[in-house]
Amino acid sequence: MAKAKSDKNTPEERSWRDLDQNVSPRKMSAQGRKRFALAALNAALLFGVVAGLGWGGYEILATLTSDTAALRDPAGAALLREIVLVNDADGVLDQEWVERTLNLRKGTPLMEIDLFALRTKLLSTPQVRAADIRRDFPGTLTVSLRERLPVLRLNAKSPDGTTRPLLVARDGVVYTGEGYDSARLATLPYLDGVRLVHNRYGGYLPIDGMEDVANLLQAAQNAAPLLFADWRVVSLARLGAYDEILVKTRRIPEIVVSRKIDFTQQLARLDYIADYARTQPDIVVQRVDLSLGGDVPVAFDSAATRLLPPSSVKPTTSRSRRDL
Amino acid sequence: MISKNRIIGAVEIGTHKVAALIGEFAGGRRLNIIGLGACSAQGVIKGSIVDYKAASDCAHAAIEAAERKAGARIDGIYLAQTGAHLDGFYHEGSVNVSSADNLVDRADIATVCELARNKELPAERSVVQYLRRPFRLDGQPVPNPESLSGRKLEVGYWTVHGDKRRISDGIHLINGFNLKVDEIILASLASGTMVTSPEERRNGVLVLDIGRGTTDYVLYRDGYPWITGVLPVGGDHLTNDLALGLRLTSGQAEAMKLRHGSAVITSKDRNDKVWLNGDFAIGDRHFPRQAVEQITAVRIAELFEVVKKKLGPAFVPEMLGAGVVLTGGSSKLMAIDEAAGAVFGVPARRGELPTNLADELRDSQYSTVLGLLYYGLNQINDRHPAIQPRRQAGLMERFTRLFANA
Repeated sequence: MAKAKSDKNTPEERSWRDLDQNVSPRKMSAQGRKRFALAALNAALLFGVVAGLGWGGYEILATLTSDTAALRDPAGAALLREIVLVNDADGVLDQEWVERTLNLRKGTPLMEIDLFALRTKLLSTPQVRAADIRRDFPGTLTVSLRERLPVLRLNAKSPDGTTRPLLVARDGVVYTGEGYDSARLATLPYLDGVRLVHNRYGGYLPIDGMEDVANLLQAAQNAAPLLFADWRVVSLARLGAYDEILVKTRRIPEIVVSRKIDFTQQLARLDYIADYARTQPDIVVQRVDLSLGGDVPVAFDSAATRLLPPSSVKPTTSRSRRDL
Repeated sequence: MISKNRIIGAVEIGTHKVAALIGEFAGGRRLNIIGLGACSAQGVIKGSIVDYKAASDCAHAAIEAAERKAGARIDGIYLAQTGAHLDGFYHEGSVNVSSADNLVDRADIATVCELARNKELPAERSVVQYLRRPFRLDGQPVPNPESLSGRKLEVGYWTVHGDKRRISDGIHLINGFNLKVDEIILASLASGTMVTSPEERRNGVLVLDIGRGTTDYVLYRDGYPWITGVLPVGGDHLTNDLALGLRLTSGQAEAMKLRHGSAVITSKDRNDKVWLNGDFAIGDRHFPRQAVEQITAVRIAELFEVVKKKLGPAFVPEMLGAGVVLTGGSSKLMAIDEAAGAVFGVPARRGELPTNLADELRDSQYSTVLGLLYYGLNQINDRHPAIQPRRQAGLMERFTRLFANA
């Protein structure tokens, strides 16, 4: 081969371009080998990308042209076998409620289930605050729920004159509770002083200011559980105008709490007054106004003859002008 | 031929230095120089590689530096070719125009070009470059005979060829950096393109690129490179002569040449002295200026005489309207233009590089490497389509280039 090449004698056949320019990496310099390695790596990457794209394209084309069933049901006809409920710790809605609400037949293909529609269905129950549904192949539909917790209860009057027990959550949502223990509900105070407004779905619009009320109730439950056990009615009648929450307990007909002052401090004063009143059988407290800070006017009934120490409360027998 | 926004490197492996330039051909017509790397040459004597490893390290360092400055990877290399092994010959071809209406077509042009280039070479020689002279149609020179009417079409080529192994050495040196040589261009043509204008080349001009080890020359006539050649004589010979004549070391002689060397004898006073170092320290000596100038002037005059003799009958002073242009590192010798004018009998000047170049590039020692890019851009774009010798790269060839160019 080399001899044949050297026999060529015309300039056309013996240009410098015919000289071999292929050099093995071994004969390259260190810089040359580095360039070669980088170039080889780049070429390998390029080849990989091209091959990947080609394979992907082939697969898509093959699926589109021959296996339309697989495209429609890539999960391979996975059928619904069970619904698993994952509820949060305070949740009361059970498996039976979920199955009844979702109304799905066993054996339904998982891929045909409209998760968005099911989620909307769950959220249409006001008791459900958040819902998440996912397919767990091969045959499970997992439902995760987070529920609203009731902080107050109320009795709503229907146009026909009947009353309907409802619950109010921390975010002001009014709903018909389902699955709650009746003993637990009996401990909730009633809500008063609000006017329920219907929404267009037949329910009620959320009640404003419930966040503050919930905080007060939670503080009372935590700081003075015995005191709280006496609470019967919480009224929001003065909340909008005076930032005051009215509480009616079994012993004291009216307690005025301000939402502008720290609830814990107000509850501490109330607790002090209540304790003092318990030790004085001849005293019947009619009204405690905690909304004035350090000065707490306390109204007694006519039989009251003694005053509380002036350092902690400011006794009065007259009604405040604001109460009129 | 040249794709848009292609990055090309130019490398000159000289006796004094290795220079690498990176240019970006924007839109196939505009050249932006984006990187320069230079390194003192090692392992190169009189333009030929004698120590592959040393020369390779030096060239690769220069290319790497240029790439780093440019922030780009080279697609291919234009390599300057010089060395005393280069030789050239002239050969003509002629054809009778084949068509009945005597209109020259592409086939006629391709045939006459093939005939003109089809001459046997000596053994172990490879063609470096074909330099076409103008076509002649019925004896009249024409730049492009296509579609012109005539009976006989002639063309001649100055074919430059060189020793196969010497050419391979240069190519393999570039290949060792995992790069391919795209073009080999004569160093004289490259520097001639840079230091002369097209008008000067049309009027006739002789360009001498005097380097450290070689002197490359090219004679232009009618805008075409007419004759090229390389002499194994350069600035080193002046240094050697000074070292022998004045009994100096090479380093001292080089310093003496640069400071006091002259291509003509200017000093008439024998008592006019020049100091070797000028620091009056121990070892500092003085020499008659006249002696220094005499040595350098005689050698330079001899060099010009040899060039003139090599050109032979092609050297016609009346056809050198633009005179002689001198470039290369050794063209900085004092009064060298005066000496050239005296020997050649035509006006001579030092070549100047375009003013739009960066300052660091406007040195005559970079004229060749700059010219590689400019010559490559112009010459390759201006090739006649009928005589394009290169085929388009095939798919597999382009794919394998990924390894080299990525």
